[in-house]
This record gives sequence, structure tokens and C-alpha cells, in this order.
Amino acid sequence: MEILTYIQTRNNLPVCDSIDLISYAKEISNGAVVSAVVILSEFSKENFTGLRKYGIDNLYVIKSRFPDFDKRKYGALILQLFKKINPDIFILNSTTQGREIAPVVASGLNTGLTADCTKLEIKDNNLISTRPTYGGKLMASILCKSKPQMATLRTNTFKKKIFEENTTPLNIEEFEFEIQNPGTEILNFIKKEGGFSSLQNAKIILAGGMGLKNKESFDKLKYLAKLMNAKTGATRKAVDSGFIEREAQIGQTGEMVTPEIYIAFGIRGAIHHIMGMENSKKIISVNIDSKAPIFEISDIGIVDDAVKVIDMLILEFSSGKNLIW
Amino acid sequence: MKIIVCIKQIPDTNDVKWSKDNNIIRDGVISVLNKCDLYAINAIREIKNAEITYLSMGPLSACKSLEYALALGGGKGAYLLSDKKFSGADTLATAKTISYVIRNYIKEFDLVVTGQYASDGDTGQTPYSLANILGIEHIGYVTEIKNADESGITAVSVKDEGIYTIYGKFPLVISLLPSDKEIYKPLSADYIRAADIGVEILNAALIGADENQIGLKGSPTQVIKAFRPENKRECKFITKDELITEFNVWKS
Repeated sequence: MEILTYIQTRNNLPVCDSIDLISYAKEISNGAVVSAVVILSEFSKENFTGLRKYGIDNLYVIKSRFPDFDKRKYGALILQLFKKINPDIFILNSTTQGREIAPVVASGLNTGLTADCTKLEIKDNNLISTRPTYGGKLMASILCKSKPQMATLRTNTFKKKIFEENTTPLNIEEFEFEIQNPGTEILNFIKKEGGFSSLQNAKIILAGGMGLKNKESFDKLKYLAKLMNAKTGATRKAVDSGFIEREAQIGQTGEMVTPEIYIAFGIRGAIHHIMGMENSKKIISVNIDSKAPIFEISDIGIVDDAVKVIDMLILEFSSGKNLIW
Repeated sequence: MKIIVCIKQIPDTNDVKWSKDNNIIRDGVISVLNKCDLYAINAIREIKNAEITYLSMGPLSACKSLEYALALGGGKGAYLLSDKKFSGADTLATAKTISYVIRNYIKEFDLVVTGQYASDGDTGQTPYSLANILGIEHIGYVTEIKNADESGITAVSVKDEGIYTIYGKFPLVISLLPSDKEIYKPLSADYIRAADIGVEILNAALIGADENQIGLKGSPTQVIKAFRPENKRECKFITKDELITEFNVWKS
């Protein structure tokens, strides 16, 4: 049995989310072979041999004749690879890239696909994919009757892990496929600066919602974040209202985060926001409304004016009492 | 330019109620037009010289959303795919069903427009599968249509790695995300015109569907278990002054 994973790259290097993914595949593999496919215009072996210890046995490299920002033919290229190899399971990260490639491959192979899963298991050589649906209010476990069984996995579900038993060298196979030019034309591409948001690796996140009411309160929140060595996040509504920059958006259409401590200031807890932060280790919420849904997923709740609490914390952290924080 | 807009009527996910044995109660739940689709219609209504047809799949009650789409976006017709044989379809079977109606029944089109995802299932897979089955190009994660002429469309597509401006020649599928753009509020005249046009109901036979490829039969994925997510946390309420004490406890 073989599990294939898809590796995303940035500047010719595998991204963290993809290393998490291969480790997760190994973790659930029950002894199955774990492989990965990567598509690059230029492949440097030394950037990838280290992946062996994170769980993979084989690496399939597809050479792309397009610049790496142009991923329009990636689905078609992977379909070509499936003519050479025959994995039982194919999993990708549920990033925009993974979610664009996966359905093209699945429909091309006439097989099923489960999106944005939070848990994968292998039982009797079958993949069981569990995912939130109905805006996170219902969980569904899904079995695919046809092979390969495919799923995209929500990022931050699992952290990369070293598998000491993987000592033999990584088996690398390189492929080049004839492929038609895309039928669309990229007129312009603006690369996202810094790529993946700094929120992803933050230990502490202070996030604000509409309860903060204005940009001035968000500036206070940013100042507090600086004092606490934390990062600042926000709900979509707060971003849409211009209180803070778009990069701060946490939730289904923003960043998915899992810090050690998440403090929600004036956030009611719309399901789309909760989906992006509910896996944080500790959640503290401050809201004036004791019935706000955010409290249902919080460890600590404070029913109070969020701005007053920010003011208090600024004083507290500025006074030197908490310098070791 | 001939445009087909695919829309979905979904249960309002903010209105989910639970039975005692932890099943979702589906009766009496409010149905709404999927949010991404609303923005898709809103973007398309501004394209000049467009001949718009709306398409949906679901129970007869989904006519409401199609009539609303006609009122909101204008257009010349609306079809509802409604047949027991379509029910239980996963994303692949849904994409195949839509491809049958487009190929065999509607036949002529330049552009297929969809929402990026539906808020109930949130898979975002159907548009990609549809484009692949139709054998045409697809532009996803569209936040803005910059330009549309007789031969193609220029769209802004926002992905994790950056922002693309892409030109696609017809035939083409595009999928839209919600944007900041204000949604047009239909006037009474719009609703009257929509009601006059009405919705045409189509069944599996009319669209020439292979019954093994649609509905539950044509769906490779099946739900084997549905359950309510457990709440792992219990909220301890404290006052703001106690917060600092809590911080110090965690630190040590």
C-alpha cells in the first residue's frame, strides 16, 4: 500500500505545512509506504533529502517548464504521474493550491475527494476522512468507494515529527511530461510578501473584533501585542471596516492559527472566525455580552468592555511587573 | 455573450438546531442563497451584452433562490434540476449532473460562473470538477472581474501565494469569492420581471444523464458517520483583575 502526499514549495524549499503533511501521512500509515510528489522548474536534491526523516520513503519530482508561480498545469501534471505510479491514497494540504489541484486530479481519475479534513485514519486499507461541515456545526466521517482515495487536510492539524527508523536514503525519481500550454494567460502576478503570515508561528495572538469599535482601539491592541511579544489578529468584519490590515485576518477566509495563547478582545465568535482559531492551546475571551458564542470555545472568559481590559493590560505590562513574560 | 450562473440554495448554517440524539433537525430550517453565489450574481449583473441563464439543483423549494437570482442579476431564464435520481450526489456526481445539462440541454454558452464554495458543505470542489469534465479552463478564487468582452474575461484571482490577474478565453468557468462590493437591492419591478420569466424544472431524462453517474449511485464518497463536534473546553469566568493572576499561573 502506498500513500502519496503533495509537497508545496516556496523559493525551491518545501513549506512547513507540507512537512507537517508528510509526517501525518507517516503517523497514520500503518506501515504503508509514504511518498511525496513535488513540481518544480528547477529541482535541487539537497533541499529535499532531509524530508526522509519526516516520514517519506519516495520522492517523485515532476519538472515543470513554467515558472514556479504558474501552477495552472499542476493538476494535469499529477494526472500524468498517475499513469506511472498507482498509490492507494493521495493527500494534499487544504491550501488554495491543494484545493485547486485536488479536484482536478480526482475528477480526472473519476474518484472521490474529501475536502478540508481535520482527521484522517486508515482502517482495513481504507482512508476514513473526517471533516467539519455545516459551518463547523456537524462532523462527518467519509469513506471513498473508489481508488485512489483522496483528501485535503486542514493545515495545522498535525506538527512535523522525526521518525528515527527512516535511516536509508530517500528514493528520488524524476519525471518530465509533455503538457499543453494553459488556455488562460497570466497578465500579472504579485507575490505575497513574506509568503506565509507571521501569525502562523506566533506563540501568543491578541485578536480584536467589532467590540473594539474603531482603529484607535486596534492601535492600542497592537501596542499591547508589542509589550507582550505577541502578534495581532482580527476578525473579517474588523478588517473589512478598515480597523486593521488584511494580513491580520483570522478565520475561514484568513489565516488558520494554533498559538499557545489566543486572547479574543470584543470578538463575538462567528463560526467562520472560530474555525480559524479553535485549535489554539488556551483561549481567553473578553466580551461585554456573556452570551457571546466565543465563550463556548474558551478556557477563560471575562465579561467586560474589551477596550478597558486592553487599557488595564497595557498599564500592567508597561509597569515592569511582567518584564519576564 | 452567453453566461450560465450556477447557484445553490443552502440551509442557513447559523440556524442549525439539534435533536436530543444529536442529529441536525432539517425540517423548518431557513433556506438561503449561498453567499459566494450572491456575490457572483452581483458581479455578473454588470457585464454588458450578457445573456444570463441561472442553474441550480435541489428540491422544488430552490425555485425561490432562482427567482431571486433573476431579480438580482437580470437574465433570460432559470433551470432547476430536480429529480429524486439526483439526490445524494457528492461533488463528483454533482459536477457530472451539471455537465449533462450544459452539454445536452443548454448547449450554447461562453462562460460558466459559480461561487468558490458553498457555505454548508464548504468543499469548493464542484467548479473544478465541472471545468475538468467539460474540458475547459477554470479561474478560481476570483475577487473581481476587471473586463469582459466578446471573446474572454480578465479576472483578479487571490491565492495564498499571491494575486494573479488572468485573462481567459471563452469557453471558461470562473468561481467567485465574496468581495467588498455592495449587493444590488432588487426593486419591485425586478421581482415582477423575474416572476414572469419563471423557472423551468428539468429531470434526469430531459438532460440525457447516465443514471449510473448521478445521485447516490454516481457518488464515490459516502458519509459513514455524522456527529456533533464535542466541546473540549469549559469556560471559567473571571474578572479582569484576576487575569494577571491567571497569566502568572501559566507562566510558571
